[in-house]
Amino acid sequence: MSRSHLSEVVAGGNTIRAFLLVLVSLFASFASFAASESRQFDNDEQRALYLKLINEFRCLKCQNQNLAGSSAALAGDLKDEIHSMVLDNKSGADISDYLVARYGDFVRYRPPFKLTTIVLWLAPFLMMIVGVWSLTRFAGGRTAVPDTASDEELARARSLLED
Amino acid sequence: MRYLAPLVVFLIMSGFLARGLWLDPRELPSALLDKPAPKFSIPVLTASTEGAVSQFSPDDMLGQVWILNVWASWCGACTIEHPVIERLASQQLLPIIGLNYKDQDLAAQQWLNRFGDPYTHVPVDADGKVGIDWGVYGVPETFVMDKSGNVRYKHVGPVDQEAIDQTILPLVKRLQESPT
Repeated sequence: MSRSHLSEVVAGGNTIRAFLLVLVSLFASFASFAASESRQFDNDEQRALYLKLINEFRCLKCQNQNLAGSSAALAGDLKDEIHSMVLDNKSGADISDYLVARYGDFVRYRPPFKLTTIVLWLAPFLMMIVGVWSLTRFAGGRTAVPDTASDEELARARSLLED
Repeated sequence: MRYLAPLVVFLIMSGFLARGLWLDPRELPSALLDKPAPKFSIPVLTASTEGAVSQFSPDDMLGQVWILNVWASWCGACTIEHPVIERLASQQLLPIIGLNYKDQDLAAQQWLNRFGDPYTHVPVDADGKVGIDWGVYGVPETFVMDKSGNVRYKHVGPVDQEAIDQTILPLVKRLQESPT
């Protein structure tokens, strides 16, 4: 998108549209990671499984990236490993078990539900319950100002409004 | 109660956040802890071969407590760690195996010539497959193995003298005294 086009959009007062365009282009750059995959597959199911998996596993070298988005050497090795297992027609669960056995649950971006992760899974719901409770407890207690204006006051208010 | 509740919530959150400041997210517990070490049999670095050994396998070490130190010539932190490993080796308490991870043989040999070779054997993991089996993600890494071939401790990143004195050596002593 050209600079002049962007400034026209902004000049037209449509800053929201410009903002959205910028937002979309940010996400477009993420999508291109998946597209730049050069590994070969026997069929589309294998490719789909592979792409699903590399998005679900963490690169342990650069902990806030998944394998798909990382260019670290270790991420490349793990992608090769996943690729060869996918070509061997291993299931997603098998490949997941393989990685977890070596790197622990931390390698998964979707952690399993078990004793060590129970806080991680339940805390959001707990916080929501506490939030709703405190909202009703503290804010709900305040009732609206009761409608106690007399006829005289209403008449006066009306005359003030009309002036 | 009305004013106490937010304060309590705030204190609890502060507690969690303060704890978070002291946690190192790079320090992951090994998934292999207290489990048998993954098997492998790979060639050792030619020039550093002592005697007739040309292949190394963890099975060769059964019956002794030993350390596996993962290193590479391209790894900057390994040069920082190396004097500590050499000091440990000079005490001759246990064999230290130096797994050469994803390296070139020539570069690895030159590195050892330059910085010193504290290792009993240097198995060569050229393609990093052994590293993957062992869950290696940040070189240098150091594993302590017991007499039965189980992983008992893993240190990620350069080992310092404090880690040797306070964690690794006491553990090694305990493992060496136990019959299995």
